[in-house]
Amino acid sequence: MSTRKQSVPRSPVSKPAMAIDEHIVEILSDSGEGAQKCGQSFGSIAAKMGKGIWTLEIIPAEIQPPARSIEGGSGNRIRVAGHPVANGGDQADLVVAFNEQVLLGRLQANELKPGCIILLEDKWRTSPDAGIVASYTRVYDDLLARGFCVYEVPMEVECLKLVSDPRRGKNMFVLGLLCSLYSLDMQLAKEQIQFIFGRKGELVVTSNNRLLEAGWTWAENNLDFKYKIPTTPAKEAHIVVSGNIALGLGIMASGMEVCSMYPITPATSVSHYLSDVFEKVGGVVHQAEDEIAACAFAIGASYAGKCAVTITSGPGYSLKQECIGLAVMTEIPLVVIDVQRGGPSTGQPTKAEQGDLMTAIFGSHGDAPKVVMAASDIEDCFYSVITARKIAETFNTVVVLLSDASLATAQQPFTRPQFSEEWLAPPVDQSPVHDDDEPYDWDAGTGQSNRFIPGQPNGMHTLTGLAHDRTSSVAYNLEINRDAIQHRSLKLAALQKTLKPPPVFGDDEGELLVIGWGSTKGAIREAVDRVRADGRSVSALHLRFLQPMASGIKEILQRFDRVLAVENNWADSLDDAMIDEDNRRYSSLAWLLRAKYLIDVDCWGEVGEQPIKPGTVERIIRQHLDREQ
Amino acid sequence: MSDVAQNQFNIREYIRENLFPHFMCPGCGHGIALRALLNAVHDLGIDKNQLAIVSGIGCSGRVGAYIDANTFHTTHGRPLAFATGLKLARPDLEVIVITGDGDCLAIGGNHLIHACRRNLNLTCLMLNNEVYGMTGGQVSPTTSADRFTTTTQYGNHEPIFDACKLAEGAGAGFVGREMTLQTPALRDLIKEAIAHDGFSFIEVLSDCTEIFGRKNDMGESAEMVLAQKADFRSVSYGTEIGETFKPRGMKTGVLLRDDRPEYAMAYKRHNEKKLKQ
Ligand SMILES: Cc1ncc(C[n+]2csc(CCOP(=O)(O)OP(=O)(O)O)c2C)c(N)n1
Ligand code: SF4
Ligand SMILES: [Mg+2]
Repeated sequence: MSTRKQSVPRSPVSKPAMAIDEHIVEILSDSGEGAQKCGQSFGSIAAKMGKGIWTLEIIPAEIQPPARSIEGGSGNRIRVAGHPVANGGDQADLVVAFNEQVLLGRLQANELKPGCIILLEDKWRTSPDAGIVASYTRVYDDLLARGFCVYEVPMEVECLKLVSDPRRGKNMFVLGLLCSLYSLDMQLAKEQIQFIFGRKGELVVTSNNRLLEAGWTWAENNLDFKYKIPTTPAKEAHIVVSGNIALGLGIMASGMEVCSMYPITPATSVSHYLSDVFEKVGGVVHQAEDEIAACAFAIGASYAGKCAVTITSGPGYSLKQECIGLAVMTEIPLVVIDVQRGGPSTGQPTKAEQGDLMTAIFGSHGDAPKVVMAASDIEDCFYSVITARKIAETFNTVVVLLSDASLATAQQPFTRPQFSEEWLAPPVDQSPVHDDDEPYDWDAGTGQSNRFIPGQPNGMHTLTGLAHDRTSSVAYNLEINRDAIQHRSLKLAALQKTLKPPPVFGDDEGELLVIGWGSTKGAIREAVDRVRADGRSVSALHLRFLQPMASGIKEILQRFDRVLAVENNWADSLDDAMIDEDNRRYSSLAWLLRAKYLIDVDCWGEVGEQPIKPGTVERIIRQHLDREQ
Repeated sequence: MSDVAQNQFNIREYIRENLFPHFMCPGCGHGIALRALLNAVHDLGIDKNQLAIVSGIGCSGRVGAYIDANTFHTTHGRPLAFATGLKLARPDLEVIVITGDGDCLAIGGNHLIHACRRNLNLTCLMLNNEVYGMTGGQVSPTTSADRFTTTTQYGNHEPIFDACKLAEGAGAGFVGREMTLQTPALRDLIKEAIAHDGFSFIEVLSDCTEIFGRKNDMGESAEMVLAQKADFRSVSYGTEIGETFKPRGMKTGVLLRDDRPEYAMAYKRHNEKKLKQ
């Protein structure tokens, strides 16, 4: 017991802040105790001061999991740094836990750095329930024995001095405590409280401000350490949002008018946000009776001249396939957003996976060419929607935009977008149609054709999913169907000519090239940076367009001795006794690159880690570099 | 005496306690419905080995997995379609479907009307909590007017389905409705539904306390359950409730019983006739 850190009040002065470059902080509680709000606020304040942040939600599998349970931990991870960060990092440096059980969950998942600092609510030590006391002291002693640096914090006792129900106030106490520990700006913290609770009235704001100050004072008086992370105040205004909010903002900024959806985790929060704000800018969120209807609704609205997006996740994406085929066939512009989750089937709704790439490219029956893009970070979620809409309307085609669960709830600051007219597609041409214009006047070079809107004089025609000719009459002739298929395919070729080769991160040539797509960009780049710091020859390439792929990629791949795809989807490992070159199932991008460029791309794919960490990618890279050729 | 004790309903014999703690929020109405169902199964003396529970996706669908029987947790909206295949292949099994208002009436609406039309001997329990509980509280086809949900931040403007009328219109052989407040009545209604030879549809008026209740300031579980009473009037169980209640025209109890031919039997006879020709 002697090692137990006692909270002895001392004067708040003699405490120089230790300068550090970055820290990973976790706040863990039972669901409903507000750790999420605390973590997001902590991240926002740090970001507003000009620090780099990336926040990740720690989500329990159930809506209201049992209190004090290992699987019920809910909370937030915040990586704070003196430089921009693009992923949640490896293991936590400091953890605040509202009970010892939620902490155990993270410990088992190996998410805590050895010897890290743990700030633990101490009320369980004196609980009337002997079982709880026993569990608490057992875990506490075990943590000390394992070398963690545990400080007990009387959160409940301190909060009870100010509020009657500490379950609803502890989170702001902890925010104050963290503001002290990381030398954050208390004025910004108060503005954050005003922002969160302003709607609930002055009393609630005042009460939370008191809790905030109490936390700060307690830390100043009782903790013998303090940190300072460098700050680079941003020149322009920044916003801090999650990937899903960024998608919602992008939908509005792109001038889209219709978002149709059917609820599905982790995509739905985009529509929660839109249902609050979209109507104010003239948009409509339509919750359909299922994903098939949602897709059909979007196609109907697009036929009427509106620009429509339908948003979903795995199981819903599968249901949309038939309608996507119709949109390709009838050449109706459509943006489909798939916020991927763990599959197959109902799978793991709140967990990230990049498992839908193949379905996105090859889904729907017959030859159904569509554009497939993937957002690689939060800011990219915003801008990708704008690009997707442009392409959809330029080529009258379907554009699938892939995001995933790890971007959906993660937060990152980026420069506040300044609205530009260019983001909007030109208004749909509704002038009378010339007599010699046909609905499908396929351009011999680009495959592009017209888009006649119902009501447009002289533009009446039959829109049909049956094979059709240039006048949109049903085609009974094989040659006519072939003509149509060829021109729809041509649109992708024409788009491909406009795509610039993606930049290589690191040297342009060398030993190993790590290639990825989507949300793994931050982790891959950080890993490559770490290995390059040791003078090893490794570079990275990240693809934004998966279909068509930009020009010049083959040449880039050829400049490296070896190419390794790193993805958050399944890949058979050659270390498995049953697996050989002959029967190996590759990760999705590796399949595509091998087939397309006839290059021997190796792969590492994993579905067990949420999301993939830079440390993991670093280990894989080193293994590959050290492996005998 | 010992006979009575043996026959007493003990829920532990019917649930998978090894899966506890369970996922349901405190006060969730689905738990009450689960108990009523298991009590009915017990009273009817159904052998667990002969019982198949097919459920959809949602909090309602998750309930099925806690039953210690042959349970199949399928896809969102389509448990009736899976159950139809199962029951036709094995008519000897007692097949009970557990579904939610979103599962059964939105994405699964099509399957519901066709199950009613066929009149195959299935029992379908639709747990109606007026909301998509599992996905965080979006509007459903039974959300009352003006209610707040995460996709109707300014109140719901869409009209609702009367699920029982829908089932009636589509040809179900047995239709009933009960609230979780009246647990014994619910148990007895389920018993009648299972015993009926044909497609039986029951709408259970359940409550989502954690998401819908909170979002609409409807109080805790007890207040929500009592509020059920204010809106409905029992017609076939017990006596009239009291003057103070305001019936909204929705009735509870057995709403329809029609002994038209059951699908599997009718199909069998049809085939026999064909073979004789
Ligand atoms: C194809 C598909 N679309 C969407 C979902 C997401 N989803 C899971 S449960 C659910 C709604 C459940 O609502 P309800 O049937 O009313 O059940 P409750 O949770 O309210 O009991 C939805 C939309 C899914 N699993 N599959
Ligand atoms: S979310 Fe609602 S329906 Fe689901 S378990 Fe909780 S209270 Fe029940
Ligand atoms: Mg429901």
